[in-house]
Amino acid sequence: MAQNKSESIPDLGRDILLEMYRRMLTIRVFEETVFEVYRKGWMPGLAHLSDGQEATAVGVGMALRPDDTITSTHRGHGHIIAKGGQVEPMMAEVMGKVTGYCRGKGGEMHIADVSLGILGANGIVGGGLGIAAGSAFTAKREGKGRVSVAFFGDGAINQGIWYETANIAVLWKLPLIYVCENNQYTQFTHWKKLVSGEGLAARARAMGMKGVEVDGNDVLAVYQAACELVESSRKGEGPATLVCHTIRYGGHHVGEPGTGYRSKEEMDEWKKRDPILLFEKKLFDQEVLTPQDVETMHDEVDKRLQSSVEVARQDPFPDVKEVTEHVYA
Amino acid sequence: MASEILMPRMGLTMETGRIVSWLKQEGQTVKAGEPLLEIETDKATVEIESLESGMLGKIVAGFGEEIPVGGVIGYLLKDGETLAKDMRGAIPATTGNLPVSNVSDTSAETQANPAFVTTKVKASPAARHLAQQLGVSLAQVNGSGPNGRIVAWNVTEAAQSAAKTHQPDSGRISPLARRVAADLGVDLTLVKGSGLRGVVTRRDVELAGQTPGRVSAVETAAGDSTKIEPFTRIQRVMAERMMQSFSTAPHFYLHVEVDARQMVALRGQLLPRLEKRDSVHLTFTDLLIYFCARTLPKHSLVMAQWTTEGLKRFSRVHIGIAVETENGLIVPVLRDADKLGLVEIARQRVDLAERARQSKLLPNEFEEGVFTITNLGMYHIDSFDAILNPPQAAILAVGQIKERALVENGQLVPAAMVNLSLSVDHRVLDGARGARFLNELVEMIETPGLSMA
Amino acid sequence: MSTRELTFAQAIREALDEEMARDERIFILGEDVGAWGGVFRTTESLFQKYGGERVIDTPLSEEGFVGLAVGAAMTGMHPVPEIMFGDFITLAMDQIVNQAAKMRYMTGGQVQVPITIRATMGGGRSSGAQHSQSWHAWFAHVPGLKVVLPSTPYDAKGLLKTALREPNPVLFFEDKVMYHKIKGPVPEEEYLIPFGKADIKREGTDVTLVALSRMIHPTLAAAERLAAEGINAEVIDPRTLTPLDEETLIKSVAKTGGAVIVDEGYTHFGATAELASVIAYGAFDYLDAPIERLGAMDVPIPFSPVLEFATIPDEDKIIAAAHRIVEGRRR
Repeated sequence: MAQNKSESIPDLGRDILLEMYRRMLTIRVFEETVFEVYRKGWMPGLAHLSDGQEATAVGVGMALRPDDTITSTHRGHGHIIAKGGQVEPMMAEVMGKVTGYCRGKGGEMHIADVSLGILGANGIVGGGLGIAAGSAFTAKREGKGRVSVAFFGDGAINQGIWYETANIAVLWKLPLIYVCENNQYTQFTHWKKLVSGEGLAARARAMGMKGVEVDGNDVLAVYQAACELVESSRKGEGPATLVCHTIRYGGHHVGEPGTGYRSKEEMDEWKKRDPILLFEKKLFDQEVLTPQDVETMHDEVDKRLQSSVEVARQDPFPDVKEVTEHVYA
Repeated sequence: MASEILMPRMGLTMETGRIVSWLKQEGQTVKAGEPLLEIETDKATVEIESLESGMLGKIVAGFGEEIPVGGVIGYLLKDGETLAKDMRGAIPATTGNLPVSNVSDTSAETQANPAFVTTKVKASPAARHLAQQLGVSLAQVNGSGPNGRIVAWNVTEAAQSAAKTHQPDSGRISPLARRVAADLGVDLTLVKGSGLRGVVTRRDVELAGQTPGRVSAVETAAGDSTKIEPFTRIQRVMAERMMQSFSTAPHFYLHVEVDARQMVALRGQLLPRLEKRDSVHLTFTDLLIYFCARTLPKHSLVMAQWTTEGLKRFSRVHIGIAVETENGLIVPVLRDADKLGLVEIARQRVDLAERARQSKLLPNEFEEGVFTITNLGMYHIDSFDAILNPPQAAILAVGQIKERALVENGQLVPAAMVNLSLSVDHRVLDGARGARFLNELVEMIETPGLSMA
Repeated sequence: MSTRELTFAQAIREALDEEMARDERIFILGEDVGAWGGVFRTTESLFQKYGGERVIDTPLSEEGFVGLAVGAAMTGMHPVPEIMFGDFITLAMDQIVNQAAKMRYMTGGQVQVPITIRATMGGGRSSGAQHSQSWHAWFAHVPGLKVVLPSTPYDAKGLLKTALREPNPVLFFEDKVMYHKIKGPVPEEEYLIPFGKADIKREGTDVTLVALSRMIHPTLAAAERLAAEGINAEVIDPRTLTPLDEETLIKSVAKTGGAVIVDEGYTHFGATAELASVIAYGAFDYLDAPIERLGAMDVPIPFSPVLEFATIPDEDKIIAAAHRIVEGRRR
């Protein structure tokens, strides 16, 4: 359970709080929109949605500098938006258009924007861990204090690459933050059936780095924890691991309802702690936001997403001649 | 074991045949009776049918090759059969010049037949490529590679030794190609040969003839007396025969004027009915054939032939009908004419004449004639003397039927008359015997009912 | 141009040294590459010269340190991870095949992955089945990677220097037996050998012998023996499998009419198969004999020398293959 809770809003300034809210809302509406787009048959392949996990993504994302890097998972839309990704080229990429972030070559599971420090969502579970370690290595060499964040899920806890890179990261004091988004289910199986001992935070500590667990649906708690770990990493104190407990509302991918292995009661409990509503309540209480603000923001975000769909639908597909481009530099 | 395809004997006097074109490719199946290839004998181009059903396993003799009767020209495979190692010979694919209808995709056939084994001679790709370039037939090459495979060096060697025995250019144009070139007015010096060792084949000439801008040597030669048209084989043979006949057999000629009124009346009677009933157009030639056929058996000496050993006698009445074609005179033979009725005579005559003009006669349709009728009446010739058709001893030359003055019962009457001339080999028949035959024939013409007696 | 005799290992070391001096983004990482100088001495004294920041001893974590190298390459460095025995490369397959090879393409060209993975290959030292394999064919099969196999000190230095300037992932295979057993002239002056350019190591007319990596040496020896018999063999070293110099191979076989392809990778679906296919297609009309392939026997590599040597192509096998090709030809 959560170890770092925050009941009051830290003195972050209205702008940051609003931006937090806006990003969480954008993620939620983006995922809901992609759901529609998928169901209407306007995108190929699969869609892996992260609605319900907004607090983890945004709490970490907003603790980072623009030049910090992240690697993400197959369920990465939230991380990308949290790090500053724009919904328009994301929507285009999801539809396979040439105007997408990756010119339609990556797709919804592999979006990247190197200029924003987003080194790519990855289709291999744990696939981003090696890359994140490498980015941390380079960051240390550059000596500018930047850090590298590796997002991964409870499934990757048992991938060998975590242990190999964690070991190296501790030995070499790399500025690497492991953020485990534990949404309770490794595809269709509850994580407790798959992870021995006391879980990842304990394993991290055993490897010689800080291991912290937090309520993944409390954006401010996540933010606070992330800031602390990032700061110490920046100072050269080495890697750390942050485990955020949260839930995904949808199934593993669109078309898989997520109800075969999760009970309605369980889901209802989680929905009572919806990260956006939780945060909203706090913001209302502290009079940082009014319901009117919320409605306005909802409208804006909705319009923006709808427009991104319309534009993306009109955008062209890549020219077939591009198929052999970008294999080699 | 695969069966051999042999150069067939297509005529009494045939000793060799020249391959003109294969109508099937290696790997293609052929049914018994289906045309398999075309050969040229000394008389004509003949289609050869396959004797058995099977797959054409190997072609041993190709375009332009002259093979003696009985020689192996290919191999036929039946289900499950394979070719023995020493069965050599495949023509390198020269599909560029083969007419489209002869080239078909054999891959479907070969895959469908589970017993199919590779029928091509074993030659490396390099050897095949070289063979094509140098015009070497892989059939003629012995391979020194593993398992007898022909390698490139074998081909080079073969080409070099062939070059030493190189034939003069005049042998490198197939006779048929020459004839077609003459017909189409194609300048042979401009035609590239695609056959074996660069032989110019009929197809080459036909293709060349289709290309615009080819100047015809024959056309420009009009009026230019220094241009020589080479003889076709047939022309040459015929000329030689004429010479031979005229100079060897002592000819003498018997002439009669015949009252044709009864014959004309008879024809007038029969013509519309036979047209309607049997769809035949009855001609005077038909009637004359009929009358000759019924007269000859009583004068069998007329059918005899002079040989150095003695007189050769014949009993079957095979009558030759002279037919004018583009290539000259051809005399197809109506066999056992004495056994045929008028309708059948007419039918056969028409068929033979047409096929003669298309060069599609079978060898036995030229041969074994014992008597010939030649009719120039349609050219308004009153009378003429024909040269004997060797080895025959008699030939009847027929002029036109014309209204002439006849003295009958002391009166001058106009009557349809026809002049007949019988040329006779004096070594076989003397004047009297010849006259007796002619007389009986004339009687029958003048009183047609006698032919029924 | 002055040259000195260097061993294969020395030539490689020299390339690393020169390029590290030239480009500070280059760093080496692997097991015992630093303080120890590398188990094959290919990184000898580089640790002392460039320090532990640039020549790094890693834990035994092929997947981990190759994965880290991929990330470092994507963020501006040029890492040179060393796989001590090429057989261990299997532990890092995901990082090489799914990450390094594909990152540029999947991001639509946003990143480069300049990583040079040095791995060893080859048997003949009784090292057993898990320490003797040659995996170049696997990586030639992955779009996005380049695959290099030098056969001489001269080629090793020139090709490695090119690899260290290459903005793409390179698999650089070094035969272990050659490290100290093969010496050759190496110029003092700077030179580079481009990828995609085969080397005709011996000109000939009667048969083409194509050999990869260490196999060049028994092939050249076989060519000398064949010459004594009057068979003039042309020996070609492709040097890089990706990119492959198809033209040189095809032209040679079009000239000679036959090819023997020699490699230490397993025969079945090995590099020899692709090379044979390229030749068969491009020189079809000029083939005078079927193409001969000599790879390692398709068995796990045995320990006992008499067994091991039976599985590796050698001079006698090469000569026998060449004989089969020229059989029936005039000598």
